Amino acid sequence: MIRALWTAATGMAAQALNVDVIANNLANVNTTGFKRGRANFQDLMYQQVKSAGAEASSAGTQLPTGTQIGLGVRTSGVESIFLEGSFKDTSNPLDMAIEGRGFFQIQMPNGDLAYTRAGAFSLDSQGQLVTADGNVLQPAITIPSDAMAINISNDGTVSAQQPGGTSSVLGQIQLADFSNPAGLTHLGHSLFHASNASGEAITGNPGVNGLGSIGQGMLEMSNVNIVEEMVNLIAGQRAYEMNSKAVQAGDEMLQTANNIRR
Amino acid sequence: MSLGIYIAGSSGQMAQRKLNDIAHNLANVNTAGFLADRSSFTTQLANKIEGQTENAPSFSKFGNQFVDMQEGSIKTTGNVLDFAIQGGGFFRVALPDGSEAYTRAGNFKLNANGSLLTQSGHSVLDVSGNAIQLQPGQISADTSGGLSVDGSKVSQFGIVTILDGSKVEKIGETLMKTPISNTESASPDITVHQGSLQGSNVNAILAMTEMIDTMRSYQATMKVVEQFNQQAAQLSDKVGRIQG
Repeated sequence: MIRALWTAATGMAAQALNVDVIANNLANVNTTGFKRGRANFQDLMYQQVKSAGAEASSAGTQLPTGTQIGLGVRTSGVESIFLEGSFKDTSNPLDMAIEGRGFFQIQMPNGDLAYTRAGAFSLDSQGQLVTADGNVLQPAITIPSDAMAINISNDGTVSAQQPGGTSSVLGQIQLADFSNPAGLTHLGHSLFHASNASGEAITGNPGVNGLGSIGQGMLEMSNVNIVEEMVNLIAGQRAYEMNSKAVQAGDEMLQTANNIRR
Repeated sequence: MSLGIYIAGSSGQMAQRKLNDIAHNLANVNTAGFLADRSSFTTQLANKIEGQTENAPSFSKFGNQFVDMQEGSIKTTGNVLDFAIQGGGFFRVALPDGSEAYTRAGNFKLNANGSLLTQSGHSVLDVSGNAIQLQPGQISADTSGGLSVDGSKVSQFGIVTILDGSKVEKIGETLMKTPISNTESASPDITVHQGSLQGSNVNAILAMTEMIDTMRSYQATMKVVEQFNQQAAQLSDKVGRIQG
């Protein structure tokens, strides 16, 4: 049978995945702290028909070039791109954006630590800073119920202004960084989990050792660039179409061969 | 059977082969750093009947294959670990068996130890053939391929040019192998661009045109096969039949 049928099918499968990733990026265009994904492709292995340098005749001449048949494409990975998204001023005192490298550390219900750049925090019934899903920010910071104003400085120090004009320091937010953020695992809910590829979390105070500083009353928006995604969507869809044409061509050639003998 | 049917058949086989190359190129139309496969066909003399050397029937045969070394278009991605080479160079990559391979796919990643790797996890090599290591920090590259972390230069990309595109063996994963003698260290007019990627150099319009051409020529040769088949059928059907 014609190999082109399967070769083109790998191309269609790859472009379908490409469109899946683009659709997820577009769906999250307004998600705080979302990091866009990108599907990376590589060519598949080659079938060696003749290798270059093989003996071509008994006189010892060598084939100057070989013959290899390519078998299509494969997905090498879907990579998260950790470029900074643009910032949005919300004036909400519990919204925080990280300007630079680093992640907020979040305690999961099972005790594990997860990491996020989505800094839209709220208070729970005990006055602790929690994510929208109710998971506690680490190190835990409790805001007293009589706090009149909450102030978060660039280095992550959280202080509250209490009745009588006294201001008390409640704690300092610590950020985590990774040598390879692209190796983090997506957990959904805008959270990431450390993996073997990302390396261990390196924690520190905001603004120190290359970590970003905290911007209060700001949120980091998704880093999805709509125009770029649209262009990629067009390219992906057209590439899918071209590959389907190659399947069609292979099919028609088989049909022609079938029609030789009526 | 007549020789012609085999000749037409061989030409049909070559068309199938060509379609396969086209399908492979089209499957990789969105693969960063992919270089298109091209093949050429040649003739092989069928036999020298009656001392006939001119206009002797000849089979179509697979000639040679080469890699199209043209540059793909460079697109900006803004990703810190994407690098594009302008001017026709290749990045040096270490394979697990210790040998070297070459690639134009500059969509690299880091592992937990800070080693710069290709998408399939092979080390990217510096100018002296050692694996590139980058500590956490702000990574920047200058146009001559120097890599800096937080402003201080730590490494230099190993970049080579390949002299003869027909002596290249593709090994998948957008990697290519070629003898060291077929490479040359990059000239200064080759530049590296951070935050950009070199796309596939497959020309989609050309590939689609070639596909139509291949399909039609296949159909034409199959018509010839069909004619020979009918001829043979008539021979067995009509000749020798007693009429009347």
